[in-house]
Amino acid sequence: MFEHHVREIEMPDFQIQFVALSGLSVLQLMLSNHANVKSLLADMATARVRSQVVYKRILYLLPLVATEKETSYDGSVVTYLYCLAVNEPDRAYQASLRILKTKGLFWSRQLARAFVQAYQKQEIAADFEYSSEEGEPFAYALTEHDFHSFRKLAHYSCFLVVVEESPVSTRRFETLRALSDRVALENVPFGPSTGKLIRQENTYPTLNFAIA
Amino acid sequence: MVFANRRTWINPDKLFKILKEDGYTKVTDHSKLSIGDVALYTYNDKPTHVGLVTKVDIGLEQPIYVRVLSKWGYVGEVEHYVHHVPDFCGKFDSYWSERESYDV
Repeated sequence: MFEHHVREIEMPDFQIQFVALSGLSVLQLMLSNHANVKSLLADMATARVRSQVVYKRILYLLPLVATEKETSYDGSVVTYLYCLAVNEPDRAYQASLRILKTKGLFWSRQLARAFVQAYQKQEIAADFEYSSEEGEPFAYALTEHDFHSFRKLAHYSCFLVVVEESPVSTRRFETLRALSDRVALENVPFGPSTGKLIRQENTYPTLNFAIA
Repeated sequence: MVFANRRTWINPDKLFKILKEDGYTKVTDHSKLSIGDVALYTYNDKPTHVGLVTKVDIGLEQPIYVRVLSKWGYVGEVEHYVHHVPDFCGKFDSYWSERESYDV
């Protein structure tokens, strides 16, 4: 079933259209109305094509992107990403992160960047809280967007920062893991990261993350 | 290319707003079409693309040949017949002019 879509979406006649696009909004408009895309979306909605297969196809194509030709597989990858974003945002988020690390793509990176920003924005209100009660200040920040606020807090005191002691969703876990990487890379002034991420099998990932 | 002198990329969402605020008028009489006017392309009534009119061969009642210069994504600038654009540029919709004397 999926092979049919692959043929349609990866043939040059389809991909060449993408080089003439004049904006991200036009890209989304055209994809949402294109027969090939509608067909794949319909098959994904009825589970005749699993989103995991589409995700794997993106991962298969990314190493094939030739950096000397900006157009190679760009149209196919962005089409698959769009379909994932419609049907399974969590997986689309993972795909977007991989796409953003791949050179030689244009529209795919544009859509991936926009999707990641929108995806993370949804989490901000619920995912950032802090308390400066005397004696035991604590904070947790679950998105990269909150990272700067997180650092500001850290300047005021020697914080014990505990991020989410209870089980967290896979999506939050990945965000937190990215955050802990960022802490290490940024050389945060209040000391080295002692973050520790533990993923348990057959259950939600559990996170124990502390900076002292 | 059309509105920002090749200096930046304008989101097509803003095209109607730019046309309105810059005082463009829709050219309903194609016999008055002129070089420098703007060809607008849409898809489902949403603006998708624009081009500059570079050549007009007037027939008895309406232009026979209209050539347009437009920017095709990161391909570059292309001069083409007004209807000859990739599908993803949308369909030709209308001509617009900023000449004040157009409606006189």
